[in-house]
Amino acid sequence: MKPSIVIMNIGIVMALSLAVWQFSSGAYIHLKAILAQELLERSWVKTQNGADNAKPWPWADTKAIMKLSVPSLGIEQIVLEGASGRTLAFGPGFMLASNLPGQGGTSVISGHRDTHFEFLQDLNLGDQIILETPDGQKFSYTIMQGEVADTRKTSLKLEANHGNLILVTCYPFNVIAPTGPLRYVLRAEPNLAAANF
Amino acid sequence: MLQTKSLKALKPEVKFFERLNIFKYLNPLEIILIPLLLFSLTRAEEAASALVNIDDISSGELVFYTDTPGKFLPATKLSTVVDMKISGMVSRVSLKQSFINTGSNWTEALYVFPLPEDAAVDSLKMIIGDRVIIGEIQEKEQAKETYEAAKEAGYQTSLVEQQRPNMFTTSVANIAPGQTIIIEISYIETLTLKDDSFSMRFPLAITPRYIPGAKLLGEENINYQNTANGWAANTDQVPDASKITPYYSNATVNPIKIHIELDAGFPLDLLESRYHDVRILQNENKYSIDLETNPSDKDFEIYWLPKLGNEPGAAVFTEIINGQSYALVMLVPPKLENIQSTIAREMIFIIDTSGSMSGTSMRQAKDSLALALNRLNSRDRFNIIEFNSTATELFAESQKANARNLARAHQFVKSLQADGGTEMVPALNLALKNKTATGFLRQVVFITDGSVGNETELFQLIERKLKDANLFTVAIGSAPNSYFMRKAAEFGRGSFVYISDVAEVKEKMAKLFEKLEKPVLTNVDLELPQGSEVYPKIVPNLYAAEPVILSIKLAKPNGQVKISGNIAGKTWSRSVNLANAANGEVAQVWARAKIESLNDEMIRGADYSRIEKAITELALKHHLITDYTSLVAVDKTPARPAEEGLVSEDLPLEVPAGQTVDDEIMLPATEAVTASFDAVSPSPAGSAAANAPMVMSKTVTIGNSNQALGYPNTATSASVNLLISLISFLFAIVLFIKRRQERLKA
Repeated sequence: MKPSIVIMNIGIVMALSLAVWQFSSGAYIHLKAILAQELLERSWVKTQNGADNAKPWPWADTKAIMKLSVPSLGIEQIVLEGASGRTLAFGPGFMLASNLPGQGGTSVISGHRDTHFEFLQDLNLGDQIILETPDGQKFSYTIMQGEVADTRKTSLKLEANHGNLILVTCYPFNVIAPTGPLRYVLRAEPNLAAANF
Repeated sequence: MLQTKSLKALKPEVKFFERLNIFKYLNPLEIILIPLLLFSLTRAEEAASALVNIDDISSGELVFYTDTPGKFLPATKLSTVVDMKISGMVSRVSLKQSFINTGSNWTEALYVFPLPEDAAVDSLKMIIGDRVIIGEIQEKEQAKETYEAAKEAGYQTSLVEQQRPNMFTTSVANIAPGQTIIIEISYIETLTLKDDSFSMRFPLAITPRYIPGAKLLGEENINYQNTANGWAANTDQVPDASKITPYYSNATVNPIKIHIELDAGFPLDLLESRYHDVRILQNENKYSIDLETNPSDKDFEIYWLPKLGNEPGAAVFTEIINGQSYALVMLVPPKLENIQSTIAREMIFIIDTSGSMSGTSMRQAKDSLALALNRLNSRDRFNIIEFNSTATELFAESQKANARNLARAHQFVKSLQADGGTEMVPALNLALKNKTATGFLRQVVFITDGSVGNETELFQLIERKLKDANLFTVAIGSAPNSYFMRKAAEFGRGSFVYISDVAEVKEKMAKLFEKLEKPVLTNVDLELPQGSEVYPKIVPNLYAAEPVILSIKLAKPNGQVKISGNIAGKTWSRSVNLANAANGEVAQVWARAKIESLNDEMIRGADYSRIEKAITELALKHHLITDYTSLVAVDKTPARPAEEGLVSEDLPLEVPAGQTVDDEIMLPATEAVTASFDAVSPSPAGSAAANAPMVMSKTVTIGNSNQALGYPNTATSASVNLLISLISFLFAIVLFIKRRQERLKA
């Protein structure tokens, strides 16, 4: 065999393995995101039925804390406790430093722009968002404002006096690089019936 | 809705694969078009910066809404008068500002004032033409009713959004062209001792403003020629008016007056204004400071240094409200360099190695821990506990900080990896299982991102088990649970450090450890007159460079407060006589301390409704914004026949020297635009319905519970992975085809 063909063979094998490896890593992220929501759905039902600390899988360091739904888009997602990178791989994460709905302060939920929170780009002003807590209480919100925040310049502001909901994801939506300073921040206000003044 | 445009504009229309295709179909025409497009975008950006952003506002400003969402046009400021009364660590600041609507439109504006941290506006008065609007502290429920009632009655209402923490904002509707707006706010600020000195800052810096090209705003928004106020001539004389701040950019006509009464509570070594020339008059230990200035690019700041002896000094202020006396006692530590580190310490480091710490957070945590180990003294003892789903200790009990043990510790730290859950309870139990060795001061340093849900349980545990030890929390990462960290340190009678960046580790940890090495006063004990109520209930160890503040409600106005403790192995005590104490506004400070303590009780499991009731009562009595009370702006314009003069409360508007101001803007001295506030119906809902035009605005401030958080990272590498995969695959195909060609040739 000619040396050039040997080199090409090695090249093909390497390129193919790289392709397979990267494809599986990419697919794994999406798969994990989808599968985790299934498992979470189950632990959510358990939590609603009164289980105290229903972990979605035995080694989980987080748990289902509420359910987020957007009726207009047919979206239902289980929100996890905490917003660390590991948690966000499985579902949108509730930032522990913010307030739970009904406690009078701002609630913050963040999610990955390319998995769970991809739908944020389809939301419009006036759209409804519903949060359901494990005790079955429902809180509905209306989207009032959307803005792009620069993490280098600003930090997330939590108002003590409003029961607002803030959804955060990376921005812009359709770029490839996974890191960037911009965040898309949607601010929703509680609907009056359930308002938390 | 202002934001409509922005939301649409934010949403990119191009989908992922279409974007990839751009490169394929890029033709020469597009190559020309794209730079053009980019250029026009930057132009748009420049045009937008013609106006100010709320975030740019660096001193009290009234700004008008514009067509560009989020951008505001600053109103012309006529004058600023500031009155400050500083007693010890409490400063009461009253600010009166007047503005004018130089436009020719009826308009709505937003008043913005950047508050110092830890301060909350407790009084608000706005005078717009002949309307008087007063801020009231109301219960949340009632505040909501007031707001809804006005809204239902069809009055113009407006809700104000808080743009950033501690930015006081309130909106003002229906401002007539040429009308003057006077805004008075007042707040209490608690000052802290930093690097041996006290300082007080007041925001004066001119908000960076850029004067709009007329095109952007439209002539209808600013009409320099036809304002009814006689200032138009300025513009005629200045050819490039568009580059000048509207009107009062000419500094001499926009004066700022600041008057300060300073009673530091102790003799001073130094009193200075950092950026402005001030006039200082001294009368024994009291000072009055005056400044008359023009707008500058610097905030006003004064600082003063106490004359310190070698032992902690004490200062006392008292206030009597409705026959009830309150006192604020402050203990000032001696200067750092005079203190020898005499106390041997037992340091227990707890480091969070749970999954949420993975990545940069773990690196920061390990760096901080290594730094801490290096600072240990040979007399000290130490131990390290790491925890994720389980807790592991380095030594079975704390060990001497000798070279061998330290080497083992460094090895241990190096090997730490982030994985698993966050079970803090076993870690705390492990850390506090042994009694502190006699003669040692136990300090627990807890390094974590605080991703926990069972906060209450942890607080209880910390309080129950910590005993005489101090707990210091070090928050790590981009989005730590700062509430937990701050509160845990409070329950642990220590302090809280936040490290958001790897670059900060060294500096911040060094500061913390410097402090920990020098505890000044331990086992602090208080003797108070019978029937006193003091906060905080337990006095923490007094560390160098931080004073301890005690808020006391006294049963009788005189008596003695005795503070004692151990300093460098000796008993130390000091008494202060309340009868001789200076006056200061300390009742509100006491109320705030009590509310904090009530909130803590709730954490310890006290009955929610009882606490809520107690806090609401206190807040209404002391005029405080809390979780259960809001500051609501209520229109209190008295309904009055035109010919009837008003009982006046004086509200003089400072007229700039040498400046003629139109009568309409001037507040006539005799019977005037001022109002008798007492004569107004006390029911806000009632007055809301009775008076037109009505302005309701809810003022959103700024209790302690407002926070700012870092943003979490919210994108995955999935797209990159898939793209790399695609490219490699294409490369493999290219190689495959090439190989085939080679073979065929062969």
